[in-house]
Amino acid sequence: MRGTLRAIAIAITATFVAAACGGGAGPGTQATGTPAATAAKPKFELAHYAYGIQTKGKIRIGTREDNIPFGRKDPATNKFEGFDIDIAREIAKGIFGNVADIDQHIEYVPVVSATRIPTLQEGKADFVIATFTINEDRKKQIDFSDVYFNTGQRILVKKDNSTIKEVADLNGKRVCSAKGSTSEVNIRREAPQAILELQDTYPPCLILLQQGRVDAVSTDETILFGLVKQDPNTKIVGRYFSAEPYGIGIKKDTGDRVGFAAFINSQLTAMFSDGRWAKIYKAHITPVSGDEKTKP
Amino acid sequence: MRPDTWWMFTDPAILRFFGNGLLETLSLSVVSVILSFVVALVFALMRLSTRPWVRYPAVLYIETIRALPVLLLIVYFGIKGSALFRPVFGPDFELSRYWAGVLGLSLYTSAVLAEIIRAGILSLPRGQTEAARALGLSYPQSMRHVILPQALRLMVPAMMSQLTTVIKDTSLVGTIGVFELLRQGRVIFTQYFNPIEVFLFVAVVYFVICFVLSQASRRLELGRAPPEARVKMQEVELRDGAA
Amino acid sequence: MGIILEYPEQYLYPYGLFITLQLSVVSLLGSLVLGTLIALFRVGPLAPLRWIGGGYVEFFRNTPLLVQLFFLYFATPYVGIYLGSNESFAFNAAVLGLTLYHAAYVAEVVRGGLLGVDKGQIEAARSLGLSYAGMLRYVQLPQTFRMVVPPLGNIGIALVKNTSLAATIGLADLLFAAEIVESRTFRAEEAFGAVALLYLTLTVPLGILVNWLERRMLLVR
Repeated sequence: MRGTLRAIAIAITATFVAAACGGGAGPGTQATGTPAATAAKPKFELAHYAYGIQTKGKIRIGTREDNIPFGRKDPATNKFEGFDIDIAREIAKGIFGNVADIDQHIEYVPVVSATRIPTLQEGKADFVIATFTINEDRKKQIDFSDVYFNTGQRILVKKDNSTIKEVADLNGKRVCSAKGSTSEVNIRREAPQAILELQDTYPPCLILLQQGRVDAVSTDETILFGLVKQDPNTKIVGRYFSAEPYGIGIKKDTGDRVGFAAFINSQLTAMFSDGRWAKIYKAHITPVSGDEKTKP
Repeated sequence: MRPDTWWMFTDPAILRFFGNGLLETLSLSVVSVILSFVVALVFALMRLSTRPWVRYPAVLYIETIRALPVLLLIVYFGIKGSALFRPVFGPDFELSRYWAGVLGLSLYTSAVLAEIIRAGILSLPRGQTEAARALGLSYPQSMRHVILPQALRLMVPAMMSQLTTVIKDTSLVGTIGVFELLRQGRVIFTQYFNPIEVFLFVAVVYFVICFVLSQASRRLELGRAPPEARVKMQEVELRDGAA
Repeated sequence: MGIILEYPEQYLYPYGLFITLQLSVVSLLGSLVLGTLIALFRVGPLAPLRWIGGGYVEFFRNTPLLVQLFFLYFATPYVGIYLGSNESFAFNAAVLGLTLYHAAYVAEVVRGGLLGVDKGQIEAARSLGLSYAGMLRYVQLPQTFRMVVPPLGNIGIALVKNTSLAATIGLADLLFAAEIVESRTFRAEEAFGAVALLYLTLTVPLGILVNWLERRMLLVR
């Protein structure tokens, strides 16, 4: 009888020893970043949320991985790129200084429309920048920065489609959009008889459209621009039927996000005024939209 | 209708991208198997105990976990992993997506391996323990030096086949945002719109690894395991392995 | 699928349970039929059929089910195969994927059962004057049946658990219900706990039944 207990004790000890070894065998990619070695590192108050990020040496940014032109992971380089990504990098530079490779301080947390709010509430990301429309419902659950991008919802159809011209034409048609997005809600409101096919992200919607499994894809115009660029056999139709101001999502401050929203807003304002925003717009949005802007 | 993109598999950058995913897949499987083996050993021994208060918690753990879909465990830890550990490790604790995946996989695999180990121990003739005890070895000593080495050797094929299951199951960890092989494939096909090429390629990579492993495990003879153990091993392989 | 999301939350669970059950039953029947056919290929006299059977089993057992499901859902239309109408596409893809995958396991079990009957017994039965049909009826099939039923039950349990993968291609099954409810209420414990209990009510009784059959089988032997 006493023997049994001892056997268990031995086994448990073995568990911890081997667990420690197992832990050591973890992948290198999971290691926390080395502290920045730049002189130009900005100073923050101890209580400021950015101080904690600076100390950890890593900021976690929730973003999309397949959403041209805003955020995507480029298979050729294994790096994230896009409009949202570059805005996020500028904010990270506001914390870690103007280092050459800011990505060493960034951990990208891939999100889809439906996981953006949980990602923030569970504290998995410091902020989420992922074509995130500011609205009242969401404001009850999380905080938003100021608007950093403005667009509106339209409709994508195949080039030879002549029956869908406005949002009302979507009634009775199969329409693809992203689960948990404002686009989904807007379609329900504007075309209640539309049959919704919901995917995690928009490229699978484009695949369903190409295959004729849906009649239209509907979401924010700028995202549709990105899809048209990927498949020239499609076209965008209809007027805006919603306004989609994008903001950066932050967890509500319950004493654990002190000064963070204000910090992000100050970074955005600086980007609007010193031309960085315009440069990023030109690099990512202009190639798909054709226009140029200096502020949202 | 759509341009052929088979050429992409000759591009070193694309192969490196898949390679990163493959490394993550292998790392996930190896870490999960090591962790779950250790936990499994504990639960297997607990379940063999004669004391009900040691045995029943182990029965509950094993039978509950292996009756649940592993994807459910992974998704749950993906959402709630950090919050779950904060009472223990403090309010700033973060469980990365990688470790959330490892946790989900290990929890499930440990319950399965515990059954395999237990079957191995039970399949040894009772005379083994009795002889060891008669030689003056204590229960832990006879376990450590006589029973476990034999039982584990008997169980090697079953454990190897479980490893192929874990490798296949790592594909589920992509759903919580870990960039393993299949998830890297998703990133590619949503940008190049070539699901045929990507999924065939990914399937072949998985196939090569798992096929080699399963052939190797089949080569290793099961030894003279009594029918009870063989039935148990087949049960575990089919009920918990076919995922 | 659109309609389901408009269901109030309390309907998500019963609907999800219904989808999970539907997927399980249809795919189990499918994989029993297909698996038996492949097993017959594998023990049959025709070498090409044996190779096809063997290749099938190895390929489907050694690739993740999720890869197979993604292929069926996203890639098949590009090769001109439409798995049903737009409404039923996801369900059909899930059933087909689950069927193809588990048929490989069924095939191995049935093959083992067919080969597992002692040749001597078959010959003895024939020499006692039993016709081939009589031998099958009284000697071979009862033994094969006893040998394959518990393992097939185990495959059934695996299949019920594996239906959860259908949520990844947008089918509103039990796991999908948990994810949706969690994303609306942020109460993961309740959302997932309820679904875990529902899965347990499906798999645990099945498991007990199969274990009972396993024990009985051993005694009879």
